[in-house]
Amino acid sequence: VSIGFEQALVARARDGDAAAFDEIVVAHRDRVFALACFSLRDRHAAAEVAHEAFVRLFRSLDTLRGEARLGTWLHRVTLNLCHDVFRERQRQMTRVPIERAERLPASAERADPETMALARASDAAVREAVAKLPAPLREVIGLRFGAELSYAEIAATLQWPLGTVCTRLQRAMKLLEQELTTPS
Amino acid sequence: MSTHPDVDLVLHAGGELPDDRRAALLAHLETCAACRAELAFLRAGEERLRSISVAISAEQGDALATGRIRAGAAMPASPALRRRAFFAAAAGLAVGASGGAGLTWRLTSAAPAATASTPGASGPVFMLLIQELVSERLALAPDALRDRSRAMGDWMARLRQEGRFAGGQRLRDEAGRLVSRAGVDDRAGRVDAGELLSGFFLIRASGYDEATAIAATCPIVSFGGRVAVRQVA
Repeated sequence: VSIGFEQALVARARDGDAAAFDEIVVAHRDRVFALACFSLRDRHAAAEVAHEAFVRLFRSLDTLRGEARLGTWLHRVTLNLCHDVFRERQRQMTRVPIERAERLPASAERADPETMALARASDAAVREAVAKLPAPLREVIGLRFGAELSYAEIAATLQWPLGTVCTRLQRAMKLLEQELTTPS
Repeated sequence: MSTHPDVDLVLHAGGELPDDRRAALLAHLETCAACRAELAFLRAGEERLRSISVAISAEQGDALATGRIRAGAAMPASPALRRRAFFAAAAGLAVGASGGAGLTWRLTSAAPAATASTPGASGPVFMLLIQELVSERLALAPDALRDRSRAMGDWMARLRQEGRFAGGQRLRDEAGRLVSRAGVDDRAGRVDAGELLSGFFLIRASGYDEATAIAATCPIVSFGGRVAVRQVA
């Protein structure tokens, strides 16, 4: 979708065109939901977050000025909402501190892809492990594999340098491997 | 500090390494077993995480239905939308300027798409086709146009409250085109006179009598317009 077309849709929605707003929702719904799924693990909560993200989009139509792509805006709002939900749950979660992730040497603990735990674990186990990641790493995973963004798009969404996005994704994968290897 | 090109490894694993850095990375990989293993790990991780299904199920699809999202957004709306829809937001009609024709009404996204869940929303659906004489509308003073828009908003709000409103849309101020065996009659430019089909509403009513009684209360009628009532098959 070109940025011009996207801005035209927003303008129509702002003018009260329900069909234009619906078109925006349909275009972004799957990715926003998937991003929330990766961030929250719980599909029901993810649906609520995605719903709220679009409600906020609707309420913000008048203030959207086209500086950022609509997807970028929606993904940021979705992540913020996921943060809110996560904060609620924080005390109940066993979380890996970010310091532990930051200390992992970038090229250590090389796994054989044939036997790596991440490749062999069930979807549910992987989601569980993703939910235990520190927030910044969880966000990268969600944006990459839920919202299906490129690294450059993730950098724009999170306003991080591209290199930071890459190294955090690498760390996230290693922590996932570590989490899935560790007997519960 | 790592001497391995970690960032480029990640970009390469994700298929996003710029062309001008690929040769250097491939040369490094030739000589670095650790990076080859790292690349294999990253690729396998990418593939695995991509394969995780997060498709929207029917249950979550309901929460993400466009109508439900718009319904959730309807109250409270953003201040500007509230201002624009001041007279008619609850009804699904907003007031705005439209060319030389003065104030008009239109469906707003602040309104739920349908009211099937509202108590009282039962019975067959009728279409109310709004027909107006353009010359009469143009003759209305700005205050009268504003009054008409406000009255339309109130009328639609009442229908919604009663669970009768099932949809509607304003049509552009143009005659459009008429297709027949004789060909296509392009009437788009002929909107300065004659009768114009300016919009439609879908309402629920027990039968023709009730639908007609509702149509008779449409403010468009008192402002000189006509409302055709047709039951949806």
